[in-house]
Amino acid sequence: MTSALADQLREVIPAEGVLDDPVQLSLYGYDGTLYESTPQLVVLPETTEQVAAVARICHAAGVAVVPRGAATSLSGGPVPVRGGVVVAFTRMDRILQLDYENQRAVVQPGVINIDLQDALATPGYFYAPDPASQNVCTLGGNVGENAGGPHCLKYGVTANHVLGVEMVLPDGRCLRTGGKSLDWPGYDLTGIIVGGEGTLGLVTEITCRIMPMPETVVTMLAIFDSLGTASQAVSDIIAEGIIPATLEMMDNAMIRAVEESLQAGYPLDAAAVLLIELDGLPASMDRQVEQIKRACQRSDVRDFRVADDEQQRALLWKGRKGAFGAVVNIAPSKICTDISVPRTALPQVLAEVLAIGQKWGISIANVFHAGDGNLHPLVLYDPRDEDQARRVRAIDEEITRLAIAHGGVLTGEHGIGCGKRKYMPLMFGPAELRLMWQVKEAFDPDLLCNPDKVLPDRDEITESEPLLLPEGSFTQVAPQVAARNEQGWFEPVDEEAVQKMLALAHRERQPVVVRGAGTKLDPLADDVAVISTKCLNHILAYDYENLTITVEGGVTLPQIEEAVAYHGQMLALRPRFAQRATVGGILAAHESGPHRLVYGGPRDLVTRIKAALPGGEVVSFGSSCVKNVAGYAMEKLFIGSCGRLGAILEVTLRTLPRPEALRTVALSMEDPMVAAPLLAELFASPLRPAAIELLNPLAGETVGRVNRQWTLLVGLEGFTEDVEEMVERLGAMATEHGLGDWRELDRDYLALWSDVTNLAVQPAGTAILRASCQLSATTTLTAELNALDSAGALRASPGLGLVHCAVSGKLELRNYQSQAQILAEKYGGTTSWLALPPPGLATLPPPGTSREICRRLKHALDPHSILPDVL
Amino acid sequence: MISDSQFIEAELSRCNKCGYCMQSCPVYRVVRREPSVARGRNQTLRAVMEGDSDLTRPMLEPFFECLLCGACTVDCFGSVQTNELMVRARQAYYAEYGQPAVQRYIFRNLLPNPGRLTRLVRLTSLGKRTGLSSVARRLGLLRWLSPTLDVAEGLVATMPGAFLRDRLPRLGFISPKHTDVRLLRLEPEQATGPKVLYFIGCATNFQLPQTGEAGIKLLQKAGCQVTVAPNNCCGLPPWSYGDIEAAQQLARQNLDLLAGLDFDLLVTECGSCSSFLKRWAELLPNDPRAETLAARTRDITELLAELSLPKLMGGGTTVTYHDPCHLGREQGVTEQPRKLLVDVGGFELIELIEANWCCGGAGSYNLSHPEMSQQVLARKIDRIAATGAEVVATACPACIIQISYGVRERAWQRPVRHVIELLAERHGLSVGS
Ligand SMILES: Cc1cc2nc3c(=O)[nH]c(=O)nc-3n(C[C@H](O)[C@H](O)[C@H](O)COP(=O)(O)OP(=O)(O)OC[C@H]3O[C@@H](n4cnc5c(N)ncnc54)[C@H](O)[C@@H]3O)c2cc1C
Ligand code: SF4
Ligand code: SF4
Repeated sequence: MTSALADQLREVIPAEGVLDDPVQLSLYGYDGTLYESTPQLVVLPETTEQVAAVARICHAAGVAVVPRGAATSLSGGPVPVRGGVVVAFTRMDRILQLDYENQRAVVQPGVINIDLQDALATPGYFYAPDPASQNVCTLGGNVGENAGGPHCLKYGVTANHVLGVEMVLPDGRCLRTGGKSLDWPGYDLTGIIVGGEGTLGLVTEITCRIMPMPETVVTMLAIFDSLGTASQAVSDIIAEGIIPATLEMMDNAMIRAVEESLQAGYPLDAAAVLLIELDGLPASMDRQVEQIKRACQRSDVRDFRVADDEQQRALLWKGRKGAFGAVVNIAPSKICTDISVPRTALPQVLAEVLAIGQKWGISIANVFHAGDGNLHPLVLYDPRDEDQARRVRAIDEEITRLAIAHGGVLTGEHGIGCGKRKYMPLMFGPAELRLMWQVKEAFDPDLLCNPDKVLPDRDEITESEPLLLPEGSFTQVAPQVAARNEQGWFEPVDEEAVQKMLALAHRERQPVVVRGAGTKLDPLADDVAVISTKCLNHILAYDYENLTITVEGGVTLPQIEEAVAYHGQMLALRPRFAQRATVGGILAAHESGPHRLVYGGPRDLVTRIKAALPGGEVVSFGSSCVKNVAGYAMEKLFIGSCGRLGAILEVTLRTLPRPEALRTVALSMEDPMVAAPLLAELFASPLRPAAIELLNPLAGETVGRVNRQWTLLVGLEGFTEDVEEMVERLGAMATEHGLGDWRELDRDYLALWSDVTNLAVQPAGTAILRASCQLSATTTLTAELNALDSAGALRASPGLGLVHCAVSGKLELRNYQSQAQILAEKYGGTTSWLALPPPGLATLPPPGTSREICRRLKHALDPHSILPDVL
Repeated sequence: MISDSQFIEAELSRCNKCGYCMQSCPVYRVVRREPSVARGRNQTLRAVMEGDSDLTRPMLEPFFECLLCGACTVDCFGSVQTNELMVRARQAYYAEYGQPAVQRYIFRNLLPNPGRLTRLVRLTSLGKRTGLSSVARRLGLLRWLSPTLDVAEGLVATMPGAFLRDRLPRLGFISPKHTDVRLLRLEPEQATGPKVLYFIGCATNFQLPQTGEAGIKLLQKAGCQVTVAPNNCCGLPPWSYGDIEAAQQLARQNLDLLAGLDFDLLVTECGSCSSFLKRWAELLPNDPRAETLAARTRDITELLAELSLPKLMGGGTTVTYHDPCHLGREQGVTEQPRKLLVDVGGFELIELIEANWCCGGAGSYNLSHPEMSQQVLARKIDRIAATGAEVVATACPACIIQISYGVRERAWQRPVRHVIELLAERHGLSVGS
């Protein structure tokens, strides 16, 4: 059997790329954990075609495939627990494209994280996710685990930076999701694949975002006498309105180990050291350092050091970087556990972790990402001692349970793999687990891809309580569940009522739509019932210290703004109709405004979603911990799903400290194309404007331009000095490009940008088409789209590669879109309608595997298609 | 030397399979497969130790295609000494299956017998292929043993006219005791430096005599009284092949040969020899002479950097420097050769990226694993090309031979020289070839 399979594989892969020698096979059976299992065969493909051929052969033979990168996983992810063929990606290590203009890199999955960083460094760019293992781990593995790193406090994790993948499905067909440009139609498959732990398919190409390096970096070290005060200092720093690039902490056991082997200069009796790093523009650095120092002093910091030069910086980092190794002095080996808890729970959780170690008589040292509550207790032991090994396993379990008890998650960045599958029911109910299984099956119906990972066995999942509904037709029963308003919309009063409405519609095959504020008024067929989330308008929890807020789906943005303003925070979501739109509606439509440039879109800001499904089940995915990779990122599925999968009941969002200064500057020009060189220079610079919009003359009227000129509008947010500096440097850039002077706009910042976002000059209800493209093509596409319909207002976001066009009444929409589509495609993008899509004109994912998977997902969640269905 | 299973177990228990050793293992970085990285090698050994796998396979390749360069130990949090483990693994393998007869003959009969060795090398270098050379080729033994083979392989450009020891009288060495022609002394013009006993390594003697000559002349210029040691092979080759006994035998024999000689320091320009000489104390824990000798051993670059050689002003020639594993990583001598090039040689130094990555020469690795060696070398040569330097400098004969070969393969005209050769040349000391 094995040898026949090997022969078949040797026909599609160079012979030496197929390993079947037992010694070699055993070397592909482990990762960085204690799990081990020998595969049947190993293949080392070099091209996507080879991967596809391998998948086809294995699929036909009914043999499992297990993707493997560098096998540095700390969850057993690449361990072939059921044998099968390990597909090792280490030889697919080519960087395919470094596209600085468009701020994207395209790589094969076997590229080592640091090799990408090295290639980017000379021209001054970087790829943000920097796991501590970055010198050896592969980008494919980073995608698999949704890896984080010290810098993800400020920049986000892998999921925030991977924009598209090419993946070979377990049956050998190829799937492409996303790409260099943003906002592709269909469900966010990229979002599910990142963190899919190799259970959904074999990723063969990755498109990710790259950014210009920050101009200045300042590193600080603060030494504390208690973990409590150190944790308090972390909260205080954030309360000062500062989000450092890193906030890493070490406890006493770790400090002692580090000092013993590395002499990093930490006092042996200190309870905690905090490593803080800021990056950004130089202007505000001194003041930020001062503020951080004060915050630490308020928490009785014992010593506060700032690195003056590269050498000192290296010294401060020395202890952190060497921490993993230093513990070898305590015990020969270790396991590295991984949990995430709300940051405020840190002192308590740490104390309990140490108590667990004491109870079992095993040393535990801690080094962790304090900024986002992600802990890695290192459990130190001697693997030669079987009894110690047994106790270590018990500790791992207790620590995992501890996280859950404190409102945390099973894993912050290492993944579930095979080690934590059994704990999944601690975090997810049967409905959630069943749904994740359905997602798995949508990609891998034969369950051949990295089996026995992530999800607990199906037969271990208990049945959910059936929902009791009165007998009768929809028209008979619905009014008993929810009252109707004057428009005839059903207005369920609470979560349970929404749940029942959907269950009823499902049972009675009644088409329904879910509506928030009704800002996106698609025309409805007569027989469609409307469920309004209007009554789900409560703010449920605001944890300002953890920078998260949990609200019901019908809550509007002004409600949230009001709640967070007291603590000097904001929700960095500024979509169209921000005054009226509901959170649920915004997420479902994946609406975001120009400020997505610096703050990210809903996809980046949402950490948890609770939704009611047509089957009557209520599911909740994600958590209020920002670092969370437990299970598939199902919350991403609902974002941008346009209400086709379920009703969003509850959402947890990240809040941010409100910036100190907000300024808008504008530049006028005859022709949008003249902005292109200026924009190119701006994007390659370390300046990070909050928003950049190019407005056609009509759109320009929203900001008071009446001279028939185009307007380049730049929104700047941040520390006063930084904003000042950006204004100055923008001025210099404009002069250099012969573009004259910027004009500062004094109008209220948010009001001004809200008008711009809404294209407020247009009459309400105008159809708006959104075209996407690669960043560098935005001005060209803008000019061409403008030529299609110069009577409509148009705003382009050159930093996002998006153009929003309000289509003037004169044009036939279908015809307009098909022309716009041709243009957008030319520049690597597509088009979709934001409001009033003419019937049948909703944009579909491209035909083929991508559309098919979306269809399967739709079918899994809404088998009778009672919610709108375009596929 | 601790060659017991305790050592192996202690090292292996610190390997937690983190994979950090993938960073700069030159072999792994070109082949990107698990058996070729320290983690894979160590796990193979672990399987053998635990009885999950046995040694009955024809060849446990992971053990044998390690360069023993030590790079992984530096990257490893637990400092697992994979290179040491691989030597033990090879030892165990041969203990189980017996050492190939030819290898045993070379290590036990040829290396301890310089007369026989010299005659044989001379014979083979005259082009008379012996049966030995093809066996040596297969086993990948000692490239200098079969220079004709190296020529055939293209590894060596031309053969030296005469071995270094043959040239010594020409260099003005006089033999104080006419009874021992192998002990020769050269007096400096002004004896200001230490009394140096010069250790001529096999590769220097047979293949790069001009390098040794340069070393001797420089030392003399720097005020040292130089006596050439009547030494044999230092023992590194058998040790690398896991024949620790033969290595011990050679070390002991050398200690006997050097007994009673009057010197302050034992010096060699071969980074491999100097590294191994410093390890003799470990090799012969029960012989106090070994410890004394190890303590007195210096690599020539180490010593010259301390002595007062006249400084030369910049000649504008650009040079890049490759760190030999045995000199840089093993002995921590990295600053001195660079300082010599810049201060004493007046060169402009352009740093080489991955300067301390093994060039793939690794003793006779380029003969035992020619393909792998070529790939490792190709990466090194790419890095050298990127510096644009006019001259390539290094400090170990094995690296010189390997890198020169890589440079010739690309048809470059770039000299690849030992640091001391470049210095000697800059200081007008003529060395014959
Ligand atoms: C010392 C140490 C420090 C670490 N620090 C961090 C850290 O700071 N942050 C962090 O997040 N993690 C960290 N990790 C964990 C680990 O390095 C990451 O999870 C990393 O992303 C794994 O990458 P890899 O190439 O080793 O992948 P592997 O371990 O080989 O695989 C990881 C998962 O991805 C899947 N996979 C791999 N390649 C593909 C592919 N092409 N297509 C589909 N699936 C694929 C595998 O099946 C597996 O489930 C650390 C690990 C170690 C040993
Ligand atoms: S770096 Fe060290 S501990 Fe890690 S896998 Fe390699 S040898 Fe083992
Ligand atoms: S000693 Fe060198 S070749 Fe051998 S495993 Fe370590 S790094 Fe690789």
